[in-house]
Amino acid sequence: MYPEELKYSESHEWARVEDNVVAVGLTHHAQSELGDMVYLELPPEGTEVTAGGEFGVVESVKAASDLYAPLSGKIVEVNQGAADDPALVNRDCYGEGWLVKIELKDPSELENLKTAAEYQEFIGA
Amino acid sequence: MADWRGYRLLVDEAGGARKNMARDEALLEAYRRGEMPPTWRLYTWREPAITYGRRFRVPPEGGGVAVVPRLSGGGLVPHGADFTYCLVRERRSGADNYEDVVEAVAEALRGLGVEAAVWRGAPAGAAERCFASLAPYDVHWRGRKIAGCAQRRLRDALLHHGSIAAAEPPPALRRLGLWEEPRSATLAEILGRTVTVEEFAAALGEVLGVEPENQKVVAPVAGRLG
Repeated sequence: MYPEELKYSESHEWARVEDNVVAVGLTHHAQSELGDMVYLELPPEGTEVTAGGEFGVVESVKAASDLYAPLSGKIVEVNQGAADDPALVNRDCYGEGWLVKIELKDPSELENLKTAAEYQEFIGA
Repeated sequence: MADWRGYRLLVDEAGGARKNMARDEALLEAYRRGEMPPTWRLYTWREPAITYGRRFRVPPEGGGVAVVPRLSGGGLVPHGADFTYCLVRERRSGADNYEDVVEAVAEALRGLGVEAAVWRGAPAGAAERCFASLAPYDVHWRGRKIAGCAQRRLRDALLHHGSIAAAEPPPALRRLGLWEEPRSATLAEILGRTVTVEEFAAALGEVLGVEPENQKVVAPVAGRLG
């Protein structure tokens, strides 16, 4: 449920490094806690984000939750498929349900994120 | 057993639609800055209004009805004859964000003589119209909704919104189909009399073990909602 190759934030986003670009999504823990996703508000491509800063909102049947960027940089791709069908985040949070791709500003920030084992300990899994 | 020690219960003056939403946001930010303890704010409306979560299409503003976005998610809520409450406090895990809040509201309503219970069944009805549907954590009376709720969860805080149907919404809102009698009920209908917001505040205060305070929340000009 928490792939080894990903890095994790305490605000429950995951990051997959692909060269200088990082794909970002919500962890299994986050999607399961929020329940059935019904709406995703994602920023336009080109938006600059800061590690720990808000970059969007996800809404489930009973709660809207802010999304936080795990890393600083520029959003270079937005998953329109997930925006059109937010249930993808529930069905495949590490695959088709990714949210945005961020071009990294400072790769050293990756060191601030947790490994899969550290994240599982953090959430008490 | 819920523990409400350290919470405040503010009874605010009736506000316009934008003002009411801005005050809730101001309360949330004050809590996040550590300037307020966890707080309930209870208030009414000076004008007929619709608040909405961003995922739904909304009718255009006009005809004396204000239409404003709400920080919390969820459907279109008709305001004007309801008691609205906003609670700000720490974010918890999953259902723990809801349980004690809606149980406290249901208990306060029972204190007024309403046979209120928290809905534990499957969602029913059209989710985009709050008072034409029932969803988990709504408060109902014999299967008819009397209070709805929605939340906004931030990393470090929770904002919980709820609306309690004191009486039927103004005609302009009923005409928009935001009220469905077979699915919803009001305190006035159930009790056969008018219930004031002060009465509800007293009943809620009793449940929480917190004395209601009359206090206006001051809102800055703009925030998340613009």
